[in-house]
This record gives sequence, structure tokens and C-alpha cells, in this order.
Amino acid sequence: MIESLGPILTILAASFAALLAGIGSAKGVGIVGEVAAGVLTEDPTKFGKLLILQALPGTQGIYGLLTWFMILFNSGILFGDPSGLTWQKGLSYLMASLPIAIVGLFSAIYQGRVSASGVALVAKRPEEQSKALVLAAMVETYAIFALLASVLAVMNI
Amino acid sequence: MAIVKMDRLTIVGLEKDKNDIVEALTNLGAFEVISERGDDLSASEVATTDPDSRLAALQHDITRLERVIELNRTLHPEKKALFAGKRKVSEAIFRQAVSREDDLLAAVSRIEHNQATAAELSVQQHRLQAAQTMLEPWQDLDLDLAEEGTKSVCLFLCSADSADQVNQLREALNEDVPESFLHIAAEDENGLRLVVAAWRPRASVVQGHLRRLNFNPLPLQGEKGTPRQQMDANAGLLAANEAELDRIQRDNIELTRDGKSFEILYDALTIRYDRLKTVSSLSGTQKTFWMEGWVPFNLVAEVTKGLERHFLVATAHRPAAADEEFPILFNNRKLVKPYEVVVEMFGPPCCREVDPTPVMAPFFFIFFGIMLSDVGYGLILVALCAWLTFKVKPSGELGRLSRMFLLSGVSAVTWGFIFGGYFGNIISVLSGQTFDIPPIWFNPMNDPIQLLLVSVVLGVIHLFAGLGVQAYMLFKTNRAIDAILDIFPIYALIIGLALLVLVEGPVGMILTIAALAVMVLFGGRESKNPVLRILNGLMSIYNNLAGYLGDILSYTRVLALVMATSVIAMVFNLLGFIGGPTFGGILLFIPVALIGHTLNLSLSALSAYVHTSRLQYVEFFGKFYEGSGRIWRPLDWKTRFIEIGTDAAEEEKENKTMQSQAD
Repeated sequence: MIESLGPILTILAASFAALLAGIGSAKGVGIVGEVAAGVLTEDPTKFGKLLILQALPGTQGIYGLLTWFMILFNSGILFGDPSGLTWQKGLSYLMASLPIAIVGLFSAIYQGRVSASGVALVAKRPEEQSKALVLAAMVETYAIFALLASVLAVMNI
Repeated sequence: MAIVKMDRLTIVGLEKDKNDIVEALTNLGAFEVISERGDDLSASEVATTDPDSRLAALQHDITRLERVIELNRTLHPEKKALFAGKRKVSEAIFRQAVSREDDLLAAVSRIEHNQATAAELSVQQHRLQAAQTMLEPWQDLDLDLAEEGTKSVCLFLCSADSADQVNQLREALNEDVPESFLHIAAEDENGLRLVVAAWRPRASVVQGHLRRLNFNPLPLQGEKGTPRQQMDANAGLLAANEAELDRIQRDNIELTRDGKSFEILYDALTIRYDRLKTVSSLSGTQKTFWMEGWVPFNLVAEVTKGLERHFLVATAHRPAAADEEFPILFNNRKLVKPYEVVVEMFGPPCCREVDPTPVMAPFFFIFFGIMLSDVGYGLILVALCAWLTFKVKPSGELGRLSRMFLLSGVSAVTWGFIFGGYFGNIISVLSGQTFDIPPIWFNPMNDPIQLLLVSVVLGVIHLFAGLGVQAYMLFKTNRAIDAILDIFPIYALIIGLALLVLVEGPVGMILTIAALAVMVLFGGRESKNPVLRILNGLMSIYNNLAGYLGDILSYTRVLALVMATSVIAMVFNLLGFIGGPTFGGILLFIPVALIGHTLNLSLSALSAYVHTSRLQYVEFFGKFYEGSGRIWRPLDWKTRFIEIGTDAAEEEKENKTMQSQAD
């Protein structure tokens, strides 16, 4: 039992990252999509601009997937031999995945809200799209820091 | 630096030349009218300020044309190329279309008339169709529906859902109105239709029962003819209407066959509208008018000379006064120019600021490249933007962005070579880990810490450049003291701390202490009170340290984005190659790689763009740049559908006629 605990904890760690960050992104992208669809009923030509805004809160999900991959790859579960995975190592992976999992979840939702407001901005003043992008990117900074915290820790386990 | 100085040009001319002068200035495209009434007038304001309401009439025609153009799009669906820009139209065709203005507007009227008739007809069609469905179950009833009965007998036509209902009615009638007569006209799966005849004085009792038992009266009772006859008549009407609608449709198609002319006229009227708006905003006397505007200082001589040659005008110009805000026209070198769009999106510099484009451009180039850093992705981006820039030539923002990304894509390719990224690790995957192109410098996946250092060092250089511009501006405005006491210590502090960590020896320590000392002593030099001054100085240390630590850490995003791009690319490569180097495996690999890399490229490029912009806007511009200016918008032909191209020969001819007119 104790031997299989290492891989179990590691997969839990990886799933945690992909899961929570993914939920956050789904929610964030969803929030923007709802608002954007409303704007498109009035002006379908803004589709391209709004799609870009909608894509922004999707990056957390990607960071989660990235961490998932790094954990499985680094621990050897994906292609190597996971026999050396002790439960201590597994637990370390779990701890390392926390930043991107939790920060990813919340930052994606908040970024979604900023992007949704950005949609309103673009609806009125399409030429100001880049400002809406940058405002949303301010939130993403913390997801990026969390990703760095997680990945750099994973690489050193 | 790279902002063109503007001259304020005043023109006084004859009222009768007003239109032509405004047109000539629009042709030159080098004159921004200074409006006395402030910003652009809205359409409603224009209508009230324009006594003839010619503007309102023009606006009305423009809206009508717009509707026709929209209709034309649905009648003559045309595959429009992606990102297609404005249509190029030669001057001759433009003039020809404009000369047909009356015909075209007549066509518009006819189309409008057609549309109104069509709307009416389709309402009628709906009504007739509804009548048809109502009559259909009754079609076998051989009774004129206008027949209301005789003098003493009245008729009810109604329908019921079930035989049960009819039985109930029969019972009720037998009891209350035994002299009544009930006839089932038709019976099928849709229910029963019946005719009830009753003695007129007792009719209300029968009606009461019918209502109580939920019988549906035939609403068309009273119309002339038997149901059959009515249906035939309706069918005839329906067919006639259909034919009429068809004719209208064909007529509309015929009228809009020349749809391009409507677009040309739309733009021509818009141009006329703009000119009229400018003209009517000018003030003057009965015989003369007066206008003022901004002209780039190097074009002033040309503009005035041109005006004076063709018109009787008096002109005067002077450079913008020191306290006068003038609009911004950039003047940058060819390689820097594409990045103006990035500055403009933040906000163009005000006339007393430095144009940050030349300083920012190289950093944008580097940061965007390093964030995307993949030869494959970079090449695709370059190809796409080159196609846009040189082939499609879209105007406006898209065109400027595509030039910017074309340049930045080159940087991504370069960094791709440096870090050894070719669609992630596609070469190593496809060759079964037997072959790989080694990176020129290092692979960030193997040595993320080195990339972390690289990003931080680049970030420090970036910040130093921003501070440098600030210092430059302080020196220029005779505030060298501020530059020396506020900015140089930050340089010394950051360099000193870096040396302290990285290099042995006292240099780092000395620099750090000196910097801190200057900050403590002079950081709060605004306050006279010595205690307060030292306290403010200490606060400034904290502010500087915390602020710059945050700024520098912000650059670690470079590492995260590089890893995101390459790891996601790796994931798609591995996923696609799961079948191995077999025929089936390759068959699987192609679609997976195509979809995956397209997705990754678009998201990574977007991230790289957004985060590079952020580094410029927040970390870099935050140091020195305000961006409170306004872009210079000269009188110009503002068109929506077409671009009027003048070929040289025609221009020549026009100039001659203009000259002969002036003579």
C-alpha cells in the first residue's frame, strides 16, 4: 500500500493542477463568452476582437495542463519508471502543485470578470481593445508567478 | 525626438472659394482644422446648427444608401476575402458613379418603395395563409358563408374537438331549444364541423350553449362565398402576391446589380458631408471666411504656396506657443515605425513629451521574440503577416499591427534558433530521439534558471532605459539635480545589489551604501524639517526597493511564457506521435500536429503580444511616460468601402484644369 502511495499522490498533484486551473479557466472564459455573445447580437463584426478577449482567461487552464505534464514527466509516470516514487516525493509534488492549482482557479475567474468588462469597453470603443487586453493581463501576472512557483519546484523534486 | 513640430496656420479667404479651399486642403491632407466649437458635432447638433439642413439631408441619403448596400449584400452574396481591405477605385470610375447620383438615388427610392410594398404583401400573405388553414376543414360545406340564415332562422358554423361535445350539445338543444337543427358537416381526425340552425328569437340560448361547451365559431362567417369558393379566391390572391413578390425581388436584384456604384456614392456623399460639416463650422463675414489649423512645420510653406497659387487668400502661420497643445504626428525611422501603433494604443505622447517609440521598439522586438521563441511559429507568423502586409494590404489598425508582427515574428525566429525550438521538439520526436538541432545558446527546458536570469537581466536593462529617458527629460527641463539625486541612486542601488550577490569584493557594498545614503539624505528633500526629511528619505528607500523588486520580478513572466509555448508544443508532438513512426502513426500525427500547433501558436502569440505590451506599458512607461496627447487628424477623404486611386496622368490633367480655373 505504502509503495503505491507515491504514484497516487503524484497523480493527485498533477490532476489537482489541471483540474482546478481548468475549472477556473472554464469559468472565466464562460463569463466573457456570455457578455461577448450579447454584444455580438448588436454588432457581429466585432467577433474577432471579442474572441481574443475571451481567450485571455483560458491561459490558466493551459498553465494547469503544463504543470500536469511537468509533474507526470518529471516523476517518470508518463514515460519512465515511477518505481522510485516514495510517498514523500509524491507529497512534495502535491505541495508544489498548490500554487498553480489554487491561484489558477481564482485568477482565471477574476480575469474573466475583467475581460467581460473589457468586452463592454470594446463594444463602445473598439479601437481601445489593447487597453482591455492589458487590464486583463494584469490579473494573469499572478497566475504566471504561481506557474513559475509550481514548475520550478517540480523541476527540483 | 520623433514628434513633428506643428505650426498654427490661419487662412482668410473669400466666402465663394470656401468650398474649394476646404476641398484643396482635404486633397493635401496636411491641415487639421482647429474647431472653435470644440469636438466633433453630433448629427443632431449638426441638424440644428445648419439652417438649410443640407447636412441632415445628406445624412439621410447616406443612411438610405447604407440600407441598400446591406440589401445588396443579401441579394448578391459575394465571397469576401478574409481581411479584404477597401476596394480600389480609379478616379474615373469614381467620377462616373458620382455623376449618376440622381439615377442612383432614384434607384434607391424605387428599392425603398419595393421594400415597403414587399412588406405589405408579406403581411397579406400571412393573413391569407391563415384563412386558408381555417377554411380547409370546411371546404366540403356547400354553403355561402355570408348566408346568415333567413328572416326567422339563423345559422351557426362552428367546430368541436370530440363527438362527445356534440352529443352534449345535442342533448342541451333538445331540452332547451327543441326546434333547433344540428347538422354535422364534416368529421375527421381533426374534429367535427357542424351547422346549427335556430329560430332567431332563441338564437342567444343556442349561442350560450355553444360557448359553454367550448365550440369554436368559424371566424370567417360572414365572408362572401362558400368555403370552396373563398379558398379558390384566396389561392388566386396568394399566387398573384407571390408573383408580385417575385417580381419585386427580381426588380431589386436588377436595381442593385450595379451594387458597387452605391458603395462609391455612399463614400462620395460621406466625403461631401464631411466637407460641408467643416465648411459650416467656419466663421467669417458675409464675403470672407476665416479658418485655423495645425500643419506640420515642414509642410507649412508648401501648403500656403499651394493655396495662394490657386485662390485669393491671406495666410499667416506661427509655431505652436510653449503653453499650446498641438496634435501629434510621429516621425520615426522605417524599422521603428511599425511600433508606433503600440505607443498609440497606450496613448500618444503629448507635445511636450518625448516620443517613446524609438526606445521602446527594440525592447518590444526582443521581448516578443523571446516569449514566442520558436522557429516554426515565428516563420508562420512572419509568412502570415507578410501575406497581409504585401498582398492584402489592409488599411487601418490591422495593417499596422500586421507590419508590427511581421517584424516581431523575425525576432521570434531568431530566438527560436537561440533556444532550439522548432515547433517545440518536433525534430527530435519525428526522428525518434536520434537527431536534434542543438540550440545556439541553451535550451530553456533543461536550464530554466539560466533563462530566469536572462529575463531578469533584460528586465533590468529595460527599466534602466526607462529611467534613462526620465533622466534625459529632467536634464532637458533644467532639473538635472532631480536626475542626479533621484535616478542615479536607483542605478547604483540595483547594480550594487547585483554585484553584492554575484561578485566578490567591496565594490557592490560601496555602491549600495552610497546609493542608500543619497536616498536617505536627499529622498525627502522637499520638506524643510530635518527630521521629517530623513524619515521621508527612509520611506523613499522602502518605496524604491519594493517598487523595483516588483518590477524586476515581473520580468520572470518571460520564462513562464517560453515554457508554456514549448511545453504545450511538446505535448502536442508527443500526443500526435503516439502511434510511432508507422504509416498509421504519421496519419494520426498530421491532423493532431496541425490543430495543436495552430492552437498553440495563436494562444502563445496572443500571450506574447499582451505580456510584452504590459511590460512596456506598466514597467517601462511607468517610469517616464504619460501619453496624454492626441493624434493629428488632418482633413482627409474618410471612406468606408473604397479607396480612390489617382493615376498620375489623371492627376496631371486635374492640376491643369485647376490651374486654368485659377487663372
